Amino acid sequence: MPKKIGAILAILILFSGCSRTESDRTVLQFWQFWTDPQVKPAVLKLIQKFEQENPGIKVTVTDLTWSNGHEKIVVAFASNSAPDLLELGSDWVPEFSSQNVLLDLTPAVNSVKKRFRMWEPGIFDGKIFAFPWMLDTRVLFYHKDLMTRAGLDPQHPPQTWNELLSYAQKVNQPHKKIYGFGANAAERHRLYKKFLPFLWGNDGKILSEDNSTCLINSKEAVDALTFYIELTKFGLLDTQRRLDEAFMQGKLAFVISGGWLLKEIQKNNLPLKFGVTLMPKPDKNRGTPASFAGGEFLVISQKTKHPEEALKLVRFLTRLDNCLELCKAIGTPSPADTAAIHDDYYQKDPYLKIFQQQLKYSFSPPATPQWVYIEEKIERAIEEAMYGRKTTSQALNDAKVEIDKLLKSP
Amino acid sequence: MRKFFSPTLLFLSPWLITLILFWLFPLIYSLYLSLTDYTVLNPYPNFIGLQNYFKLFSDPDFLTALKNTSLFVLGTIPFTTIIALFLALIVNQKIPFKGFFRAGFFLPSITSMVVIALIFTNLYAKDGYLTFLCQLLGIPTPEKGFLFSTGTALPSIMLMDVWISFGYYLILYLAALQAIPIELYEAAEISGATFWQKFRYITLPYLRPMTLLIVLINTIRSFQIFIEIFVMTKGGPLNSTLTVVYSVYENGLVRFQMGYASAMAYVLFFIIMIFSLLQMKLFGLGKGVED
Amino acid sequence: MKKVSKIALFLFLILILIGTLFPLIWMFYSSLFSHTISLASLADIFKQDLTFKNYAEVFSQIPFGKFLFNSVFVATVVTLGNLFFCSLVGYAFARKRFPFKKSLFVSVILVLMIPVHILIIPLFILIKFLGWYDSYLALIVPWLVSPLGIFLMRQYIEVLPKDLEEAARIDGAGEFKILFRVVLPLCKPALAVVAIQVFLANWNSFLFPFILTSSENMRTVPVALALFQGYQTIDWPHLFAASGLATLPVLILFLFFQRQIVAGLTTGALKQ
Repeated sequence: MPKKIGAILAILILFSGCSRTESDRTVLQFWQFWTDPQVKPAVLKLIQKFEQENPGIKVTVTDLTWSNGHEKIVVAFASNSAPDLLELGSDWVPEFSSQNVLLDLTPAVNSVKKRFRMWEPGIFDGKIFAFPWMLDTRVLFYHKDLMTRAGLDPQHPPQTWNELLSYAQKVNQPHKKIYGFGANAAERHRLYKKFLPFLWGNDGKILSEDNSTCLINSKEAVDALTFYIELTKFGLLDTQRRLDEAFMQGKLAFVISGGWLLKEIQKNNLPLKFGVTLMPKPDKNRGTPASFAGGEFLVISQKTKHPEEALKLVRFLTRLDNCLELCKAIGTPSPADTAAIHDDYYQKDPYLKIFQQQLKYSFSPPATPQWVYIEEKIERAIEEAMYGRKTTSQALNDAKVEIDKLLKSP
Repeated sequence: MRKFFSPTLLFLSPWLITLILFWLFPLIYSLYLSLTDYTVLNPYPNFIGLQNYFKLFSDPDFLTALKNTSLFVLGTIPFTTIIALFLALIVNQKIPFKGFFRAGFFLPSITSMVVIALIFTNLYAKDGYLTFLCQLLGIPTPEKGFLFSTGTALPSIMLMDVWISFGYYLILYLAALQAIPIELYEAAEISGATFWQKFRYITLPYLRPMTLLIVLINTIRSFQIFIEIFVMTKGGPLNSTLTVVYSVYENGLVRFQMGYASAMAYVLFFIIMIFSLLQMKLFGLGKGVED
Repeated sequence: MKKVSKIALFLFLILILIGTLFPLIWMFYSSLFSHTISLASLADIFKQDLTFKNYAEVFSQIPFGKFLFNSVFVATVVTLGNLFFCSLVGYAFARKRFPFKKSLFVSVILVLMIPVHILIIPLFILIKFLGWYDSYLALIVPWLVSPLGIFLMRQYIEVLPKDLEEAARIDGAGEFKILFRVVLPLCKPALAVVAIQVFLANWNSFLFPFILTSSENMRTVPVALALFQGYQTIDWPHLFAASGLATLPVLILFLFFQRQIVAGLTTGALKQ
């Protein structure tokens, strides 16, 4: 009997001993969005590598869905149970940065600031709250065969607004189910990403330099919106997903889309003769081929118990070699590290090269905490103009008035 | 002492425990939040009394949401109920493969709502099947597609909702229909009653409790319609499909105005409650079958 | 005459059934496509090569079996729990007298009427406080007593004739015995409806499982389905295959209970 008890005690002590050494390791909670079966293994591999390089740290990865991840993050922060480290899309970074829930990274990143690009969304009140991880942008996809059939030269995709408009018109034959330009319909949280490039390309701005006044009713903006609405007449008006599908099915000649479309086409080995090119400029000698820059950022919760370890993971994940691995698994994004552009992966692939070039002319919306509302007002204005409820200048003027009001309130 | 721990209390305890342990705190907490300017990530909300509630009624978006939600409720429940009843009556007849029909009609209601919404997004697309069908039948289709034209977006979602839910209520009606004693019908046959007479004097009264139940569940559910809007239109175009719960979601979790969103939720709650109490009074809660 | 109308009725039903099932047939057909550009136009749709590999891939690419198990386990426990607890509470409301009866019953239904989005933060805090985050407890316990279940049981029991219960009481039977031996056997249809309703609601539940769990081990099917939606793309064939598989357990349960409803009802009718 005593032998049995002794044995049991020994086992218990051993077990508790085990758990004690377990608890000596720091456990980091990391929430991320890359759950695709093609990509997740790459993430897990990186995490494993990190754990090997840092034996005292263990990382628990939690998956977030693109459709509802935002809710989960908000609930976590609201109830003081945010993970140590999480991934945030560029759309959401400003709203969290301004709420005093993220760790101030400014001292930690000072030395590497110059090496990375797209810090803007994470800057609030002069401090940096988010580390840019991967960047992506949107380019103009064009269907070579459809162009040829319409009598256009597939070696010369549209470079200016007028060219895009007239090419779209030439290709557009709705009765034959062939469409010119794919424009985004009233899709919330997406529509503005398709309009803003034209605004920026035309040298228009949303807000003034100091984010105090709204400039969205400028002539440049009105022209941009008028042009966009003109474009919608010669093609398909639908959600991004369906526009992508129409393009893949060979029914759509021109569409503005991102790396995911490239990946889908390649993944499915579609016999599609297509190309990508920079966004069209307003005119040969005016404006820029501006596009919308998106990206994934890494943020650390202010209340984390392991800021040092979390920072280690951030540095690890954004290290050029690691980030490149992940970007290659995903397809088209580029590490925020400026050195990435020289990697063969981007230089040797004609498509990816264009994406890299486009990144030079890509912008993101102003990082104000009220961006959620401003975005809504802009989309409302676009919708009103698209549905003929207001003229473009009316819609934008009204939007300016409302946004100014927003900016004035605390 | 013995009276306190009576069987009654014991029998009620599961609900009492569940209510007190899980729902009381969230309910009271969110009610409290509706009286503050709580913005989710800011841990120090200020008490502002009924300001949120007043703001609601001067908010054009909320009023639009209210209008759309009411349209939705009034526009789907009658159809769902009548279709469910109509088909239940047919399926209840002596037809072959009854079980096959039952399962078939029931299938939409057990499929994931999100997946169905995604399927319908494609069905409703400008070059989708519904447009094709309409062209075949010579019906004009909206210019921007069913889901992106302000006049047809909400009706399209309503149609989809009727399609999803009628099967479930059909099953409920079938269950109720089979509880009606056959002797009554036989007696009526002998007395020479017509189909309509049988329906009106035997079937309908027996179905009253179930109808109340169906309309009640459907009302409570329909007032809170959210997933379809979230997946298909996100409230657009031009707020024509904005519903109250979607607005609660947007205000609370996207714009972080949780105090305002809570107030909105409680206003909806109040409306649902009034509606439900009215229905229960109208249909007679707790009354059995009047003979 | 009767035969003709029967045939017409039958054909009519078939037509309606096809119309009803059309989207689901399309879903099933699309799940057999070999690549993601599945929702092609009408012309292309017949040119696709068909394969069942997506169904296998759903299980091999992600631990879908585990998700199915979780959903089945949780939904079953919740359903059984509800059958037991809602009977108790429903019986009390139907047969007993006690103070605040009316307001308590109203409280049952009122809980159904609150938009859940404002409850998730406090509920999350509560679950975290109890230490149940990311566990079966969070997925099961708050849902063990469903307001709708209570409502259904109460409605059904209330209209049952009381004589059998009175007789049993006179014979000296305890309350539990009366409920389980006398009353519930007569309630088969209501129990079947409660079972289907609760199982279905729990099976398709997304928001709470998503917010209250985080690990793959605790994931349920609806959350897994959401993960087939990528950033801008949707993996249609796998999503459709997975959601088709997800309907099977409920379908089986339904087919089983179908017979219960019929059996129970005819017994009940005869007894009356």
